Amino acid sequence: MMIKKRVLIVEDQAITAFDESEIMRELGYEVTGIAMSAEEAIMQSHRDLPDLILMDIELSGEMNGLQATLIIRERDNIPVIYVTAYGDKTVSVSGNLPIPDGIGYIVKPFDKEELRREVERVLCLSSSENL
Amino acid sequence: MCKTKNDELLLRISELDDELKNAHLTSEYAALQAKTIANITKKKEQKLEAQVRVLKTNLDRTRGINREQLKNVESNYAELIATAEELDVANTDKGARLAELVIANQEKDARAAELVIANQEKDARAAELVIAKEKLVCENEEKDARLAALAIANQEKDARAAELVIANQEKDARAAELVIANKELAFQNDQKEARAIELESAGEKVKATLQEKEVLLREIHHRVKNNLQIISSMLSLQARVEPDAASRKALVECQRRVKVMARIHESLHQSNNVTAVDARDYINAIVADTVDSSQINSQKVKTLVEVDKINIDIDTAIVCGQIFSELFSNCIKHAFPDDRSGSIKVTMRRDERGRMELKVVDDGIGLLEGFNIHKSATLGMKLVGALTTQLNGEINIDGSCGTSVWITFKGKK
Repeated sequence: MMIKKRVLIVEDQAITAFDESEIMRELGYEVTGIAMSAEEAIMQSHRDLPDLILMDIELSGEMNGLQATLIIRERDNIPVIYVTAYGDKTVSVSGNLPIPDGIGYIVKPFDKEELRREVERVLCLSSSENL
Repeated sequence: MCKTKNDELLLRISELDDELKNAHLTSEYAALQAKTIANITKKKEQKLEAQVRVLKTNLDRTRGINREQLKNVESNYAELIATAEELDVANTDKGARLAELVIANQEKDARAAELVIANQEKDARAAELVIAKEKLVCENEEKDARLAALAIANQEKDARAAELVIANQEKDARAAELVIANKELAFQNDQKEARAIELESAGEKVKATLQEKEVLLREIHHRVKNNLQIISSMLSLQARVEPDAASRKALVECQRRVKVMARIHESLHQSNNVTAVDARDYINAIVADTVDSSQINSQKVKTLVEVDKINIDIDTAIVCGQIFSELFSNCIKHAFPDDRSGSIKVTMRRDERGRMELKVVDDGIGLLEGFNIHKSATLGMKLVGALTTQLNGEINIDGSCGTSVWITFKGKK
């Protein structure tokens, strides 16, 4: 049996987080947990070392998703996909937005198909980097 | 007998005696001859001695002369050698000089050839100059004529100058009046400056308030999108537990419609204008969403978007976006069944009278025979009809070759 890829979800809206985790399970991933704040995300990611993190940018608490991502990438180099209401779908789709390596981008509201495509893209890139 | 012998002897003696006498005579002759020869010899000797002396003298003299000549010859020889050396040197110099002259000669030949060419050029130039001269003569004549005209003009200007002097005096008087007026204006200006400073500070306050409002508005758009995400998630979660396939599909459709609403807030959030959106960005965002959410192969079905850069107000944009989303997702879902390939063209423009036209054209399978939008049972087409009515617009459909749907409506300025 193929080992399931493990995903951490960082989202402070419970319903959105629940939807994300249901979609990820449906797509065949294992959800390591749901973090409601940047601090929790840093702690959980370092503890569980997931293969990927779905990261909301606007979070309740002192830090936001961008700051958490900087720390996580520096410490554990885990690929991150921003799932955010910020941004412009056309720009991110056309590739004009300078998205750094190991980073994905999904604009809310998302749906299952969008999540599937971006998760597969980022995981494929990060596994080719690690070869 | 004895007597004959005797006579013979006597005869013999007499013969001998004669011979003796002859001998004496011969001897005497010989002595005399010898004496004569001695004398001759002596004389000859004396003569010879004299000749020898003369010869000796001559010899001495000749020797002296010879010595002198020898000296002369030696000195001449030395001179000749010196001269020869000098000539040698001169000769070498002349050789070098000759080589130089040969080179110089060649250079002169080359120069001569150049001069010939230059000469030809000069000839040509001379010919040109002759023509130019003729031209100049002609121009000169024209200038003379012009000069005459200018002289007349000058006189006119002199007259005008005199008039200007008078006018200037009048202006001086006016300037004095203006100085007084200026002072009055300066006083008014000071007052205005004070007022401007007040206005500037008020303006800055207004600007700060405006910025604050813009930030708040962006924040609201952001929150709206987050809330729409929650609604979308609720629909998604509900669909997941729904056992009936048709209900699940309906919920997914609702999710798409919520997303169209969210895109308008995204466009407002992105643009500098928070009350109107750029139709091009908005349409592109909906196209990207619909293609991403669908199962369609974007390599097989190409989408071409040709939308003018038009700003549309938020109310029109929401309705227009909903109409477009229904039409475009219909195309994606129904126009290319069984992995069929083709293209969808989206255009939107505003004509000179301000009327907007939104057109979605595909080269797919086309409409079913007898299709009538007003009798269509699908929710999508019902929504399109209702929303077009909201815009006071018209809808046209042509299903003869693929499907073309276009909506026209009056856009708000």
